[in-house]
Amino acid sequence: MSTAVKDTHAGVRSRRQGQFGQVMHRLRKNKVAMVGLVVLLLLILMAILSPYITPYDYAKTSKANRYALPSWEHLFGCDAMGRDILSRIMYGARASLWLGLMSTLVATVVGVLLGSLVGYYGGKVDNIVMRILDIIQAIPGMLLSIAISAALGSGIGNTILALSIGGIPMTVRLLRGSILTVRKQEYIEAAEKINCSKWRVITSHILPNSIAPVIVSVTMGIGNTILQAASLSYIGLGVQPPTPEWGAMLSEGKSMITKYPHLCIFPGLAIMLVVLCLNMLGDGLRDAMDPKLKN
Amino acid sequence: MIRYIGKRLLWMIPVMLGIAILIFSIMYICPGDPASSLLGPSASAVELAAKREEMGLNDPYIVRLGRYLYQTFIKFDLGTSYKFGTSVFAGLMERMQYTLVIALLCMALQVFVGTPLGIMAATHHNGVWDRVSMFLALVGVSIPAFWLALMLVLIFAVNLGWLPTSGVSNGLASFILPCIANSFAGIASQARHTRSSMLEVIRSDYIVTAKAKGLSRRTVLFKHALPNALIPIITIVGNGMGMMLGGTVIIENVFAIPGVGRYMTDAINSRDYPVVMGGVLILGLIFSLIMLLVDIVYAFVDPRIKAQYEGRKGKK
Repeated sequence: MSTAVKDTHAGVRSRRQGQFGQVMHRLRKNKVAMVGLVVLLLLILMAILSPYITPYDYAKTSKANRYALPSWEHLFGCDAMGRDILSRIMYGARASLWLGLMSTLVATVVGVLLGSLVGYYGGKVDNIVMRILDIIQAIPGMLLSIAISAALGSGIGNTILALSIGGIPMTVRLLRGSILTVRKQEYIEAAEKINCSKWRVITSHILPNSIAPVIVSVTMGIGNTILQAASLSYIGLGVQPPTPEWGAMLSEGKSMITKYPHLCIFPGLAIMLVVLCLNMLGDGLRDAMDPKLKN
Repeated sequence: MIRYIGKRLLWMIPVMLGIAILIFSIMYICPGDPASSLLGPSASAVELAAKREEMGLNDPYIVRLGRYLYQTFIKFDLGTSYKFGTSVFAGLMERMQYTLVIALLCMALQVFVGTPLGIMAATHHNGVWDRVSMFLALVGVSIPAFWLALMLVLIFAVNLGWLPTSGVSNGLASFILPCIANSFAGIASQARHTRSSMLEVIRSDYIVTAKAKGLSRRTVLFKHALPNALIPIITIVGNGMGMMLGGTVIIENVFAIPGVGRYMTDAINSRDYPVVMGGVLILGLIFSLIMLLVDIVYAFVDPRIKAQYEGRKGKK
């Protein structure tokens, strides 16, 4: 009985707030997702403010502190050159988060453009684009990123490119599939019949109704990309020392891991925390956008 | 069905050609000079130039691409490694056993551990078991595999001394840690997908009917719910295989396993292009074959898809 009342209430709410408001309303009630979002925002804030708030200079070396174990002065200890690991992790959040966000953004923008093109027009364009994507997808993603980043060389820009290319096919496929179901709906036909421009049909009628799966996959995708970026740096591609980046820090620490495990433990925990928050938020978004899937 | 498999196999030829062109182009823009990494820093400029000419590095892109494609697809020769001077194909095959053992063991772990976990979570929906296993799965998909590998080595190999830290000289024991590290994310994501797929099925009308008929919980679960829930899960298995093959590249580096992945990362560092290109082609081929297998299994599990093929055959 009470659920029925609640449902009507949600219905009234939806009419007032629109689809977006409804999703946000459901998301706000999801505690796990909100924890993820808050921690994520704090981490982003930390990354932005890191030049001002790190306890030590991330690049300052010190002979006396080489391999210093965690202590009150250096909470996470110091690395092989006596640099404070906590400061390096705080500063390293910039590179790691930037890599994850930008690579996913590039992949999504290209993917959405291509996806709406092939989904809307279909036919020959669709065939050609999808066959090219088949080829890209036939190479395991990690392998493709490794090859591209070897070809382009290290550095943040090149790594972003290497990571984003592998992410494009999935976005295109998701959006294309979702557009194909929306495209046949009557309101699209109606929009076309009243002479809406193609651009307008795609951007204001098709995309808003088919973008939901892409948004969820983007949230999860950022986490995955951060993991991939760290793996690339770990095997010596991607971002390279002395830039503080979590994967690169792990790579530097791995040779001394048996003697000084703290060199590797903390950067790894940092990666895990970020990806965990992104996945928590992604799960919440998925449930909020498709309430059928919940409960 | 056979027609369909044949068509798919034929379609793999242009895909492999595409992969070859793509990877050749990527390697073409690779910085660094294979001739100088082959001859070492002591080589004179004349020697380098002669070597470059000999290796055909001075030819234009299109000539080199044509030569590469001719060699690979007409003569079925992946070339010789710049660094070792041996056949790339032989080198890959020699190392493939380790990579395949890891990838297949990981796959098995993903399917046989992840699926039951997901089913249990779904049947105990919102219970303690569901919450604990889904939290673990969430952590599982968030852990960097190579970091998990390092931590496992630290605990089980260095501190407890139960398992070897690296290499392949200890038989199956050498593969335990690499497989756990490489499959952890796969198990977790398998469990997550199985759970949501099961939950969706459990709520459908025919399950309610089956329960209403008075069938036992077990029959409802395994005869009615599971076969239907399995269908979307098969896709995850196929994608998982791609992740495992890519993941072994990193894991082989952590555990110093002489597999294809390590062969390829070494080759990237020493600008040994034929090895990189050959490796990508072979792994791409294996991955494509697995995806084909997944599609065939799909048809066998889902009578609706099978009927589609048979219906089509009837028309023709």
